[in-house]
Amino acid sequence: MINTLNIKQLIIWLLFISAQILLAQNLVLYDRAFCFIYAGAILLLPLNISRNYLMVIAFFTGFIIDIFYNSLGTHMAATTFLAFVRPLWINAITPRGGYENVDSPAIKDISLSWFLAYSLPLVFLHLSVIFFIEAGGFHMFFFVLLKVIASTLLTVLVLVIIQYLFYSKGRYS
Amino acid sequence: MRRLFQFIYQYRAFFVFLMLELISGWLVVNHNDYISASYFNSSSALAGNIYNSKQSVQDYFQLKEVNQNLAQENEKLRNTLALSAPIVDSTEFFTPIYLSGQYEFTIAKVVNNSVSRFRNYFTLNKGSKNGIKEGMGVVNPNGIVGKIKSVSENFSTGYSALNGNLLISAVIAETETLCTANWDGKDPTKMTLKYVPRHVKVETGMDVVTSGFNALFPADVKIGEIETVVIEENATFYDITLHLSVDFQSLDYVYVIGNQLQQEKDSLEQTTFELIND
Repeated sequence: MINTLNIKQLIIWLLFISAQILLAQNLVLYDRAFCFIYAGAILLLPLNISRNYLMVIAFFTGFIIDIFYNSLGTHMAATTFLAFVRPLWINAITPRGGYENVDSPAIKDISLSWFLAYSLPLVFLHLSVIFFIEAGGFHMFFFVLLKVIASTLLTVLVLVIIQYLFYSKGRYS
Repeated sequence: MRRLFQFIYQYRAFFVFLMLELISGWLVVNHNDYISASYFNSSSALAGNIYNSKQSVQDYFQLKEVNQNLAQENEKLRNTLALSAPIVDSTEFFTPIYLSGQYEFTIAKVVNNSVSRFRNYFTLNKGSKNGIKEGMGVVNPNGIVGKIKSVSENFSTGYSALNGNLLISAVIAETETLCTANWDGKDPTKMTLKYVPRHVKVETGMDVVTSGFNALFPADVKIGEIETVVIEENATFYDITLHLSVDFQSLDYVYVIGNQLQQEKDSLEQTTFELIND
């Protein structure tokens, strides 16, 4: 169970969480675009991970973020939902060659266009859950929707940049 | 029975999902209401300490501003002191309410703060060890900041005034109209003022201060200035927006207000209320 691969995943997870709490939490553009890069900790987990395991990790991740955001439950619900949808969406957008020789859904393993198609809808769903729970309903629908769209674009952009900076081909394989 | 277990096993991912979502839903409903002291928030030792170290790094970048603010407050206090000194006379000495021992001010530093979410919170670096309790009011030299939500030994978390859950009992200083200030979740420099009846004459630029009725804040702490006034044809109340006097984007030091007489006042009101209901 515990081997180098798991330890590597654990370190990446910790880095994402600390980056979220220490840096990305303060990154808000025009009071609209928020950066929730901790979603990357769930999005970039290996493909062969079991669904239940994935959801429990996501649940725990959301819990940690909630403690720091004073919003107990909100991020837990959103991240668990993200983890539930992730395998369904991965199956739905299988690239032409299938997922042979692919261990994680990252740009270096597949391609940039696939990663965008993979992450944009998932992050959109994830952030919709967060913002609509936080707003406490649909009474500010378009304002919240604007926040969700702006935040999705920012989050995915930062995730792509992170991958080009730190996930270079071969370094972690 | 066997088929039931088979069914559950087959869709176990969905059931795990459902269970986890129910737990989080329950937490959302039960741990985010107005008064709920939950342990899992940023006043916990772990989160508080992490925010504290983070803030100590950020402090170096804010030294100049903090210095300037403190100097300005000093100047203001010296001015009030210079003005009020000649009036003090032992025969007609009136003790200002904040010196009479009813209110107790504790200074604390904001180690974490948010402004652009729908419910904003701040974390302070003082806790129950320094006498801070749940429900105390928080102000800074410019006006009101918020209310303490939960306390640990060394840290406390509070609702910022930019939190839709917080209703502040306010009065318009010129007309002495009682009303309620509340944040609508959009602009961190503005607030809405509710329940101002249409017979009152309201103009832009009027000051809005706390009423002092709810024992949370002393009377006459500034909230903001009236910025826009709109009234619709058949509406009973005005639609008023305030420009907040506190700049929430750059909170540094704040005062937590303890009210020595709060318990007495609350229990008196409670008894009266029960008497009326009987």
